[in-house]
Amino acid sequence: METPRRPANGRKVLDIEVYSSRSKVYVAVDGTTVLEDDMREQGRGIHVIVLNQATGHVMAKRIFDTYSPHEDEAMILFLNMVTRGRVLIFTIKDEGTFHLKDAAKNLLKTLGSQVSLNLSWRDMWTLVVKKGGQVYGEKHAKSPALSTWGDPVLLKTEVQLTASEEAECHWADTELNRRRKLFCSKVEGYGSICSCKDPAPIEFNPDPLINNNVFSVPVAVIAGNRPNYLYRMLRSLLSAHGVNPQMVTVFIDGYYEEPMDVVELFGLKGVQHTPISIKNARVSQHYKASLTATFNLHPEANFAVVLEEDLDISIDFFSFLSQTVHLLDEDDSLYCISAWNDQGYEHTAEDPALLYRVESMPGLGWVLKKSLYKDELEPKWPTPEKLWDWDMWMRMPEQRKGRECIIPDVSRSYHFGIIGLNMNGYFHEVYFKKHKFNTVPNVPLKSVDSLKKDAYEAEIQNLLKEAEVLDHTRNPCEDSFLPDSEGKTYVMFIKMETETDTSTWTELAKCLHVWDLDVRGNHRGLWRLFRKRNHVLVVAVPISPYSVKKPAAVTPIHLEPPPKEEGAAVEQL
Amino acid sequence: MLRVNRTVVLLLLIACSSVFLLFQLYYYRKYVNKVSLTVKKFLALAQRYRLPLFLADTAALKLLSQDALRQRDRLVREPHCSFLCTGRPITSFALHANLWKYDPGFLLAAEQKGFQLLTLTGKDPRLASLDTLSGEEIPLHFLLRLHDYIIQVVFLYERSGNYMWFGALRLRADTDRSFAPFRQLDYGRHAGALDRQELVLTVLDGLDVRVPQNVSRFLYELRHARFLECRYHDARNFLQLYPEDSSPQSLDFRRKVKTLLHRVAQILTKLDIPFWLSSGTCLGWFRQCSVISYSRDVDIGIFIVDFRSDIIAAFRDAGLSLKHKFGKVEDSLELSFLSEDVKLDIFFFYEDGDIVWNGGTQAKSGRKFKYVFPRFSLCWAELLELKVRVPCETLDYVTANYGATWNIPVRSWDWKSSPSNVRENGVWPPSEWAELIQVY
Repeated sequence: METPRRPANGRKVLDIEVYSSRSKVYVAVDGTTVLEDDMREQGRGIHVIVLNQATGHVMAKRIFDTYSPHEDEAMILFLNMVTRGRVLIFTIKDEGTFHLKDAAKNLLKTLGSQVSLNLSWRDMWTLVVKKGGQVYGEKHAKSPALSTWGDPVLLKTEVQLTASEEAECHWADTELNRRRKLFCSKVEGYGSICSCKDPAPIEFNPDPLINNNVFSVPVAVIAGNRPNYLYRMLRSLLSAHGVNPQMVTVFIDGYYEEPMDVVELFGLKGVQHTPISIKNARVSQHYKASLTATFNLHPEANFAVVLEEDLDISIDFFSFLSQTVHLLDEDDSLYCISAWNDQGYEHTAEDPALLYRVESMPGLGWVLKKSLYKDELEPKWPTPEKLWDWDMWMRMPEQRKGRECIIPDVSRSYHFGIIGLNMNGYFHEVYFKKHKFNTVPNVPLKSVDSLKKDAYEAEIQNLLKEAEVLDHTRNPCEDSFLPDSEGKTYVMFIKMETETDTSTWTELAKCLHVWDLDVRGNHRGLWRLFRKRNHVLVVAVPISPYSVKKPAAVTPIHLEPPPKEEGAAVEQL
Repeated sequence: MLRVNRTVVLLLLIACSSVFLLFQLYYYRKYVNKVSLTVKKFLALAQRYRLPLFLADTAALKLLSQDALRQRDRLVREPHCSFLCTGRPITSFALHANLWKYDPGFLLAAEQKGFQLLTLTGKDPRLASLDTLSGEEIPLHFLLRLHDYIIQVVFLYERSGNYMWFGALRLRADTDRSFAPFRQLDYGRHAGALDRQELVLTVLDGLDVRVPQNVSRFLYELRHARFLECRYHDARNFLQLYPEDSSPQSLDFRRKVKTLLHRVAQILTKLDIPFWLSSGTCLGWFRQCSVISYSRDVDIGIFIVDFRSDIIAAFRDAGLSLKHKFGKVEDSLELSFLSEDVKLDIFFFYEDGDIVWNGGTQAKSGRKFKYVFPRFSLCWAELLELKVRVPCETLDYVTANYGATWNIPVRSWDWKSSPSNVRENGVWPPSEWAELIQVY
């Protein structure tokens, strides 16, 4: 057995091995492999590992696919956030220079790289450097021709560990700072949380709510392995007025350390769940386990708030719930209360005090009634081999049984996740980025009790009575379809012969740039949204019972999808 | 000198005895003061950190309940320490964990006041289920020691099934075994389940303490509080091999069983008749922590000594109809009720030395059967969000009934021949059939 080498000043020395090649990368620290990726079709780009300079432990692992655009910007952001003194290890897998722009190359140069400015197509490269300090080693192999890769490089070098005091900040000794210290010695990439001077707060003392009806309602945060998302989400959750951190439990789908570290940083309760099954069934099993555990941990609770790790929570989220939760007790025709309006985009949502009833279950920040879960959903929750989306399952008529959810016009949650099982950058750009999100605190909701079943019908009748019928000869997709007014109520009629005759609504939704992937947000064939700051009611004729309000002279608008072109270009993702 | 002055001897003896007595009195006073002071100090701390405590010490509560019955004798007792000085160097308190935000300041303050601490944590049983969930350990017991006197704080957790649970006290390998007289502790030999208690604020020995309103009931419950957690790990393994049936019929059956069990528990609790899960219902709990989907009915056991003649009426009043009544109180009594097309079989158990047995009857032939079990005691468990009893020695019970292969599902089951512990037990005399075999 080799004894660790101890030079004159007695500190341990780490052996670092870094390998870069077309199909495989690995990094070994003192014989332990901390990164190994030889899977095909994945892991392309620059792999970055951050080591704690006093312990040698891995604090962060990232991959920046700098073959693709914008990843180099993300890498710059990340590297700038890493604390000075940390040991950085870089290695390229496959190709990592195609979109590695000058800004990134210059940053690498300032870190100490001698070859970054010369990195080009299919080069292999490794670098070990201390941020703000010395370069421990660098190796580079140029690709000889366009069609070939550079030779694999193996870099072997030594890094001497420093004293632990040098690796830590000296914050005042408080309970909060003890948590901070523990977190910052284990994890990197969270920026100012760990800065020695003026670190970002980890405790927020948001205003309490008067008459907080949801103070004792447990909050379940359903999480996976996106700790940076979780961090952002928890910050907004713990800043919302009326939050009760003691009722928050984060359920992590797997034994991942970093999300658990984030949970402990904020002093919250975290539970890890052994994953079952694969893909969407894994998510569905995780939801079930988390919801069952939530009601077991809080047997006296009649409701649970269900959140995910990729949501921003609005400042009046609990105020919104506190004003509406009694409806779930008083109205049997309700399925849930959700903070999300599927059709609530920046150009289609206006009034934070306005509420709707809809026949869908939007999720994305919602309240589940215990009796619904225990008596109906839990006993027949999909079993692990059924590859179904839990939310699609919940929306099925067998589960929903004709009940509706209450939603706000302006959503109280914002979906910021770009990476996920069902997400990608393009999808986010089109359907989530421009979603309207409420930032006004303590919004008093208008006539909450008129959201009950019969009262809401009366409300709709009133709206239809005062609504002006729009000119149906014009093109509904044009802005000129509506007069240049504000604050008025209009009604339009679209053709929908049967439940499945969705072409007109889908085309309308597409041209209005709202959710068009399936039919959502309607109440008995009626949609409500805003256009040019006017309230517009869209009635589906003849399927909606509100069709009787259509004047005889008006022909319902009928839109058909444009014919598919032969050999049309596939949309670039 | 042979003739010793008797008076001198007498005086000497009196002197020695007096010294001895004064000695005792002095140390007793000191002990009493020590107990009072320690408990007082602790309660002051608890008050400051708002611990929702109540006195749960069996010895002290016994004195309290006896005292309530014998008001007159109060004057006879030591006026400063009638209840807390029980002779044991321990006082136990219970804490409602759900009502307390854990504040590490409490333990720090206790240390500053001179207490030595032993905190025992364990896995959160509320996370125990067929899914594997693990979170941070939860506090189960605090032991605070001052001058060789121990204050035990037991954490009570609310669990679904409407009961309070406390954990067993298990020492880690590195725990100092001389820290406390662990064997004398009221709480900790096993995990336990208790009903929620109504509390009253009272003054004992000059100190404000809360105590259970119904002390004798509380003490009785505590004596029979032992709780068994379901064997989720083994159940998971079983369900991997034999997955649960999720057909609509099974789900419907399970739903009906849950409703029925809740109703049965309600009825029998009101009558104060203890019952336990028996046969297939017990096997379902033990083997898979749920209800066997291919079982047809709900089986429970009641000791014949607990039989009350108004049982049948009580079930009828609750909406269950009597399907059949076999045997008699003296021999092989068995009742079956029907609720929403699920049958409830109540087997009455007869104790006989070191075995226990229940009877069965075949209606058409009058044949009697006897099912023999080794003696068992009753423990609490949770099934379908209900606190129910099961035999503590569940493996022995289940093995007796289903044999060594109990872990292999058997769908076709003949109650007359399949159980491992069934024996022929003769025939009812035909003249008595009208009385002993009643089918509706």
